[in-house]
Amino acid sequence: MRHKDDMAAILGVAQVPMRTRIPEMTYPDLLATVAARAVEDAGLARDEIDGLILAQAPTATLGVDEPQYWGIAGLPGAHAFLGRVHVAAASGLSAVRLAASYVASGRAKHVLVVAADLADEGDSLRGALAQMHDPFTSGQAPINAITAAALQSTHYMATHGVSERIFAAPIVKNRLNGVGNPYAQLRKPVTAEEVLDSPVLSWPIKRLESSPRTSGAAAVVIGKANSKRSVRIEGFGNFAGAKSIGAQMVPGWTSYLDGSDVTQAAQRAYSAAGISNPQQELDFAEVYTSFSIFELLSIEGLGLCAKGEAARRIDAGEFHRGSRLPVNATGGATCGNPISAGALVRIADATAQLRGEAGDCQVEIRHGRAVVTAIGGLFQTHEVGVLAI
Amino acid sequence: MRAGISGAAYTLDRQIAGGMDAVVQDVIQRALADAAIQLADVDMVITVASDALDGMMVPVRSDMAGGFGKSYLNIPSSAGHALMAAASSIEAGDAETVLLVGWGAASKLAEFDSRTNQFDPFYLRPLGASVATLQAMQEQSLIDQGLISREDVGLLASRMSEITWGKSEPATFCDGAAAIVLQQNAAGLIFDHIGFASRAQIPLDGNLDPAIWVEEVTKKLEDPGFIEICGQSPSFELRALAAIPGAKRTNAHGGSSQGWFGPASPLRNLAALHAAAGESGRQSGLLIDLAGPLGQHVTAIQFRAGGSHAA
Repeated sequence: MRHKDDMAAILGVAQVPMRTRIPEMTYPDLLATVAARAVEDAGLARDEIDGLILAQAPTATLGVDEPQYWGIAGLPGAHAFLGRVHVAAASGLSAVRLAASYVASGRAKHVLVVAADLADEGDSLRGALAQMHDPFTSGQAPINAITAAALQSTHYMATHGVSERIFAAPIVKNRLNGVGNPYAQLRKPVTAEEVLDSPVLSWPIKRLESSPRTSGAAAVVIGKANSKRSVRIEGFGNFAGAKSIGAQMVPGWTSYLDGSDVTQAAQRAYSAAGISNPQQELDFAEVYTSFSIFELLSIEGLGLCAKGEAARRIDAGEFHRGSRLPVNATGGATCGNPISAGALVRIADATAQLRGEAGDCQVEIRHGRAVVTAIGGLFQTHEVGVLAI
Repeated sequence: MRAGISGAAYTLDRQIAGGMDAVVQDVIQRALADAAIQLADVDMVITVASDALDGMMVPVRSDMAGGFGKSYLNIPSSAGHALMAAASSIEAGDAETVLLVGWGAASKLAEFDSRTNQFDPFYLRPLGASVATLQAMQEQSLIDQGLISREDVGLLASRMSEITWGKSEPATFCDGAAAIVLQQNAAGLIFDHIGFASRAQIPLDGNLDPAIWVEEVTKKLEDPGFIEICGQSPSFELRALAAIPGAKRTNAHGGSSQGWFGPASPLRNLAALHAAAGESGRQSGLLIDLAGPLGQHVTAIQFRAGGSHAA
């Protein structure tokens, strides 16, 4: 584990309220807005930024390839552009991991990471995301992000002997949490019945179990700690899984379906951060929940409860905002999911929590430690980060 | 704790039939063999490839590029950015052995250049912006300033084509793949200094001369030995070459304006430099990646020979 003084830290964060459409702002406008606010939040001047990373997942939603040429003009640190990171929906956290490496290596002092998404530029978000699939092989089967998550959901039900009703639990919790989050896109609570009665997207996944189509932006400044508000990055864990179920040709390999890839990434992060008992050493978790099943697999994969137990324990009141170890206390991706910026939103929310600046969404901070996750592709690339204040 | 190259390999062809997967996996195996390691010894994989050229999201194919079970990054903006990321990860202690893999099937762009999608739809595309028009504008500006001539550009393109393909048939696009293995204090070329700078899509200061940008990132360098400059256009390779003081052996491997397969193209030149350094015992050199339609994202990596290549 790195010494505290040698760790990279989150110095500043910013995000904009998430909405379906943000017609009054272009992509560069969004980036510039959050960039300026994050630099200000870090207590830095523009010219102190000596590195800029753009996190941008699929560009099909923007309709602009290689958006860095367009988007970074005029941003702090644009003259010292370090590249675009694209790891699908994990882009933001992967970019923060890279920024931390730059700072830890001494090649940069203050790296700004920015991301934005305009999800309503095209007719179909699902169509734009079809680029995840091989047109020659996957195109012959009805595979998309929703059907893939549905496959995970049915596997979970069969493995643990539960019904589809369990998938409502994380959604009810997160939607209630989103009510108090001024940045959330969805700020009305829902009941379990409303979730279960919503239209079926791909059985057993219902529409309200899926994150909405979201436009938004976020930015993070990484450097060595410069104030009491700095949040240290104690460790990162990344694990790239396989796109195809059974790709490793190992009998019984079910990591795609049972979330054990999350555990691999978590173990790397916990090892780097010196965490041996996450249930006792963490204050909260911000996990990526574009579908309800992702939250269940993430909670279990992070070692916050036993496999198959997450939904039952959410129903029993655990992992809620007032509980001992809240998960997605601001609503998470359930209440808004700008794909490229989503992981940076997780970072921004976690930072606010650790600083005690989360307003109506504030959780109790006892240990000063939290975990954030991001998932890229078809539940295949997993980023886990441990933050501390 | 400097990162360096332990192994490298590449494949380049005017057009590769049947998809890139087998080609990518072949260069990976050859680079690993060159480094005398196994894939299991790699703890981090970085890919450099364009979704637009692949037709599907590159990070979703990370396992094809050897990424399964590894720590993974995809940095499609340029080979220079990916090389910097690899070096920083090693220097920060976040990785010990990084496999950097880049590929692209750009030959299709000769029929339809989809890079027009790189320009914003509100102002630039309605004006007819494309990579070709911007590069033409840049080239004309350099000619008007007396910095280059069309004859010079043609001669450079012809010479680079001869070096790359063995004959003078200038043409930018091709298909290719390259893999580089980087480790701490490797036996091959060591990354001694990295300079980088970027300009906006249309540079705000109105300067379109790549020589200015290259001078900015190379001003700390002294007496570079071999030089390899990689850009999408022969005109900005020409200007960049003119900007290096004391340049001796320049573009011995053809640059990339006549063998461009996407943002990863300079990795091919780097692999060739690595192989040549072993043969000739060259002591130092410089790789410059000019990414973007005007070459305005510049990364300059200065190398010195490592253990097995030192005199």
